[in-house]
Amino acid sequence: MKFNRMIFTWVVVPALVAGLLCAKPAQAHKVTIFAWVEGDVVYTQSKFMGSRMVQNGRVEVKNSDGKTLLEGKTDAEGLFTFTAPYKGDFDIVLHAGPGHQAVWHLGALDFEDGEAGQGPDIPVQTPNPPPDENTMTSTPPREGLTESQVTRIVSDQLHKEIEPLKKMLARSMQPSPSLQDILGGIGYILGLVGIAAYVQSRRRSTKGRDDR
Amino acid sequence: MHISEGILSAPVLISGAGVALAGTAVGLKAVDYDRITTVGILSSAFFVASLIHINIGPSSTHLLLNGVVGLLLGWAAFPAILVALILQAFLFQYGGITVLGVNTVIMALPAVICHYAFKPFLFKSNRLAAAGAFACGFGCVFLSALIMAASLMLTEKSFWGVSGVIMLANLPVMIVEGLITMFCVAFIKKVRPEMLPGFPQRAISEVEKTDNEPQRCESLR
Repeated sequence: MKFNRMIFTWVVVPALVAGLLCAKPAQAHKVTIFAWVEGDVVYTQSKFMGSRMVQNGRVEVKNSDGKTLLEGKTDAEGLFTFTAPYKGDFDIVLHAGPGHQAVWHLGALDFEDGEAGQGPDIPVQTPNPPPDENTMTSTPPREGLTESQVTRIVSDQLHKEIEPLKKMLARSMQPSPSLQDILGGIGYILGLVGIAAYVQSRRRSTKGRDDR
Repeated sequence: MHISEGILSAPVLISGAGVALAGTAVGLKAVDYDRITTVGILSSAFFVASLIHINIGPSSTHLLLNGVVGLLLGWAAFPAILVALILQAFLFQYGGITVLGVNTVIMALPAVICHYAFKPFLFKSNRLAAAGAFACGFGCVFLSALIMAASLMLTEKSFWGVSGVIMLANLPVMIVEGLITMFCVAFIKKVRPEMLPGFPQRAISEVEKTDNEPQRCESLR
C-alpha cells in the first residue's frame, strides 16, 4: 500500500508532468489570420496556434458594413490572395471549422500610395544598361529613367525582398504556449488554493475560539 | 472544444454566462475545503490538458479531462474549470472573455451530470467501476460536444451540418477520454479510494487511522 503510494507520488506524477511538458502543444482552438498588401493585391496567411497552416479554410472578405464582398479557400500553405476592389477598410474573416474564427482588419492606410492596377510585374521597357555618359549607342538617346519608372522598379524589388519577411512574421505571430505560460497558470491555481486554505483555517480557528 | 470570440450571438453568450455563474455559486458552496488541494490539482490538470493534441486524419483536437474532473469533484468542477478557462484565455488566448460563460457551461455542466450519473457504479465492483469510468469520460465529451453544437446552432440557425461535424470530429476524443478516465479511476481506487465520490463513509475514519500502515480495511475487498 505504501509502496503503491510512493510509486504514485514519485514516479507516476513526475512522469505525467514530464510527458505533458514534452508533448507537442495542440495546434487546435486558436486560429489566426494575418494579411498584408502589395500594390492592390492582398495576401492572407492563416494558421493554427503553433505553426500548422490552415488548409482549405474559408476566408470571407467583408466591407466595413459587414457585407461579404468575396470568399475563397486557403491553399496548402494557408495562403489566400485576392485583388482588393478598393483601397479602404476590410474585415478579413477566417472560418476554420466549427467554433474557430479569426479576423484581421485592413485599413486604408495599409495600402501603399502606388498606382492602382499595378501588379508586381516589371514594366514593359527593356532593362537599360547603366547610364554611361561617355558611350554613344546606336539607339536613340535616352533621357535616363523617369521618376515613376524608378519608383516602380524600386518598389518591385522591395516587394520581392519583403514578402518572405512578411511571411516569416506571420509565422512567428501567435507561437504555441510556452513553458512560462504553463507554469504561470499552474502557479496561479496553486496560489488560489493556498489562499482558500488559509481563509478556511482562519475561519475554523476563530470559530473554535468563539465556541469556547 | 473552446469556442472563439465573436462567433456566438449575444443571447447565447448572456445565457451561458448566467448558467456558469449559477453553477459556480453552487460549486463554491460544494467545495470540500479539506480536499482543496485535490480541486487545485484537477484544475491544473484540466488547464494543461488542452495542450495535448489528438491528431485524427485531417482534423486536430485536444484532450478535455472533464470526465476525471467531474467524477472526482462533482459541483466543485464548476469553479475549478472556470479558473482554468480564465487562465487559458489570458495566457494562451484559447477561447475568450465574452465567451467564457458558454465555454464553462460546455465543459463543466457535463462534468456535473456525469458525476451524478456514474457515481453509484464506482464502488460496486471493479469491473463496473471501470465501465462506469469509461462511460463517464465518454459521456462528458459527448455532452460537451452536444452543448457546443447547440450553442452554435442557436447562433447560426443551421442545423444538422454543424452538429454532425462536431459530434463526428470529437468521437476519437470521446474514446480516448473514456480510456483515460477508466485508467485514472482504477489507479485511484487502488491507491487512494477515499478520493472517489461515494466512498463508503463508515470506512473513512478507519482509513485515516491506518493511513501509514500497509493493511487495508476488510470492507473494501
